[in-house]
This record gives sequence, structure tokens and C-alpha cells, in this order.
Amino acid sequence: MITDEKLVELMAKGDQAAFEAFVHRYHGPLLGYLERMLQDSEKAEDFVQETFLRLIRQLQQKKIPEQIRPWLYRVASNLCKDYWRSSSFRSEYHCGDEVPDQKDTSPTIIEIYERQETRKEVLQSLHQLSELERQIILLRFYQDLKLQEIAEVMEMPLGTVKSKLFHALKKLKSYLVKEKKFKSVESEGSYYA
Amino acid sequence: MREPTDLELEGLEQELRLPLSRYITRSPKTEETKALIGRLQAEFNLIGSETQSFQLTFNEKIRRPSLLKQVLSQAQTYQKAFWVVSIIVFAMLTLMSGAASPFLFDDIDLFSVSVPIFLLSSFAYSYRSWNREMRMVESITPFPPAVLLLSRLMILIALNIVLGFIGSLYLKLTSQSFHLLPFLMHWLALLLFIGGLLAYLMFRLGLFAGMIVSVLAWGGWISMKEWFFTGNLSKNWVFGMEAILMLMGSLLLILAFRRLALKQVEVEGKLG
Repeated sequence: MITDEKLVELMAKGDQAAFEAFVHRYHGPLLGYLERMLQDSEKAEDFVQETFLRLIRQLQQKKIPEQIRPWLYRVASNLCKDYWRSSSFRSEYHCGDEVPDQKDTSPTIIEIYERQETRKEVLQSLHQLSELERQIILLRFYQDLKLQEIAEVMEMPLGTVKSKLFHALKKLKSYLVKEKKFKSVESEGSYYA
Repeated sequence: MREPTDLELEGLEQELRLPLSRYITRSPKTEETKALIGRLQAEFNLIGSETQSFQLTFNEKIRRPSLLKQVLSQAQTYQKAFWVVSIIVFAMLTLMSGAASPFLFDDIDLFSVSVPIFLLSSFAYSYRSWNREMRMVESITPFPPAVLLLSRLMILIALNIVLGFIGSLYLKLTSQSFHLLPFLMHWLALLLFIGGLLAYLMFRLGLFAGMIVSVLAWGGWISMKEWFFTGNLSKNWVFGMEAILMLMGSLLLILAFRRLALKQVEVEGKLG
């Protein structure tokens, strides 16, 4: 398989096929990452476009990023951070700690319910984490980035990434265990009621 | 905060991989990706147009040679015949001047008349626009043609000065009544003025305009000089005017250099 770096090198020469292949390769991963980061499909789609645009503009200036994948996620993450800092985000986002519902196109009602429940559960657990920890988890588990790549995205030492990931996972585990206990108690309660 | 071992981290990752994998998001459809490509296309096309319009990329690590190096390398482009002909012309001028009197009519000497015109004609020869090989060199060299032309003009001025000095020294050595300084001033002042004027105008009005104005200036000065002498103008006045002419010529050469240096900075700025 042709590497990201080779594809981008060809893109910098104006190769149309390389451009299309690259967008096809990264549209899904970037959209998934941004949806999980923002909890907003439309905004995520906008930011995916903006990330690609920034890469193209970088190539117009003959500046080819050395590590493409970390570079893309760094740009996408920075777009999110800028958005969270913006006044438009503060005025749009009113739900506080509540996790926003997302449209799901799965076929049956039971499946919708189950998926939404699981999703909510994981989402709530992720929201127990700091922004930095959540970003590391998303990059590691959903984008399959190597720890070194995460260090490059986050612009921090590898040791710090490992340590933050470890503590984030411990927090997640304890939250999910607590939730499980609570649900089993709740279901037992309703059974005896 | 304690740094975990790789084993601890791996264990915890394995444990949480399954619950975390339940959080799925939608994948974009092919049509959505195509639409995204469509939205990005206009911006991407700019890369294509830029690569087509800008094909020459110079190695920035290679330093631009100085004008002196450029002059030396351009000197090598002249054929032996050119140097031989130049020496023969000056030898003839010197011998003709020494045979009877260095002056043609009244106080106007053969050197003053011939040296500037020899400069102009040899410069016209060195332009060589009809020479296919030279055109090829000029078209691929990273230096603007003006630098090449200026360096060739410098070579020719230097050649005229050196050969003129040798001829003047020969006349001084062979004739007791010969006054070296006024003689040098006569032809050197005009040579520098014509050379400076040509260099200056070449950068502003082009080569042909520069040549025409220089020929007119040469003719004008010769006529004026004749008029000075018939009007019994003091030799000190003539000397003073020649000194001014020499200064003006040097100043014009410096201005041509300055303009060239500014142009180079401008070009480098655009490339950088």
C-alpha cells in the first residue's frame, strides 16, 4: 500500500488520483475522531473539510508535513480547541454535563435502544476525563495511533502520554465498574419491587 | 504521577478495549466523500496551476556568485580571435598616433575618437543575439541577462583601459614631447563616460536605446571638443570638464551596479 507520505508528495505535484485517494483514506477516520471530540456531526464534517484545506494550503506553500497522520490529527484537534474557546460554542452548547444524543441509523428499535445505551454509557465515562485524557483515549482506541504518534499530535513527551493514558484508563475502568454495579442493583431492585 | 510499565498499560488497554469499542460512529458514504472532494477541488487545483507555472526550482544552497566571478567566467566566453583583434587594433592606434602626431585635427587625438567607438562596437559584437549557443546559455542561466551584459561591458571597459594605458605608455616612452596625463584624460574620460552611460541606460531603456544615446553622446562630445579648441578655451577648462565627464561616467556605472543589486535582491525575495 502506498504510504501517506508518498500520497502527499504526489499531491504536492498536483496529482489528482493521489488527492482523491488521500481524501478517501482519511475522510472516515477524521470524521469519526471529530464526531467523538465534538459530539456534533455537522460541525465534525466542517472541520474535516477545514483539516484537508489546511493540508492543501500547506502543500501550496511547498511545505510538506513530515509525519502526515499525526499532523492531520494535530490540526483537527487544534480546530476543536479553537472552537471550544470560541464564543459561538459557548452560546450553542447549553447542556452542561449532559451528553447530547446523536442520530443513529440502525434498523431495529431494540438495537437503537441498546446502542444508544452503550454509547451513552461510554460517552458518560469519557466525559469523566479531562479534555487531554479524552483526546488521548480517542486517538489510541478509535484512531489506532501509536503512542509515539499520539505524542507527536499532542506535542508532549512519550512518557507523559503513557502516564496520562494509564491514569485515564484507570479512571474509565473504575467509572464503568461503578456503573455496572449501579445497574445491577437497579435491575435487582426493580425485579423485587 | 508514577509512570506505568508497558505491561501494566497493555493489560489495562486490553481490559477496556471491548467496552470502548461499543462506542461507534457512522462512516461517511462514498457519495459524501465525493462531495467533499468536489468542495476541496478548487483549492487543490491551485497546486496544479502553481506547479505548471513554476517549474524552475533553484538549489538555495548554491550561493549566487559575485559579479567579479561572473566577469571572470564571462571573459572565458570570448574567443582568442577577439583578444588578438583587440590587441592589433590598439597596436595600430598606438603606431598611427606615434608615427606623426597623436592628434587628428587640432587637439583631438586618435585615441579619443577611436577608443569609445571601439568599446561600443566590441560590445555590440559581444551581445551576440544571433549566436544560438549563447542564447541557450542565456536562457538557462539563473542570472538575469542584464548581469551577463554588465559583466561583458566591464570586461570591455577593462580591456580598453589596459590596452589604452599600454599604448599611452609606449607613446610616452617613444616621444619626449608627449604629455601623458592630458592624453590619458582625453580618451579615458570619454571611455568611462560612454561606458557608464551605456550601462546606466541599458538597465532603464534597453540595449538599443543605450547604444544609440551613447553613440550620440560620443559624437556630441567630439564636436563640442572641437568647438572648445576653436573657441580657444583654456586647457585647464577642458581638463576640468574631462574630470567631470570621468566622474559622471563612474557615477553612472555605480548607479547601474546599484540597480542590478536591487534587482537581484528583489528576485531573491520573490524566490524565497
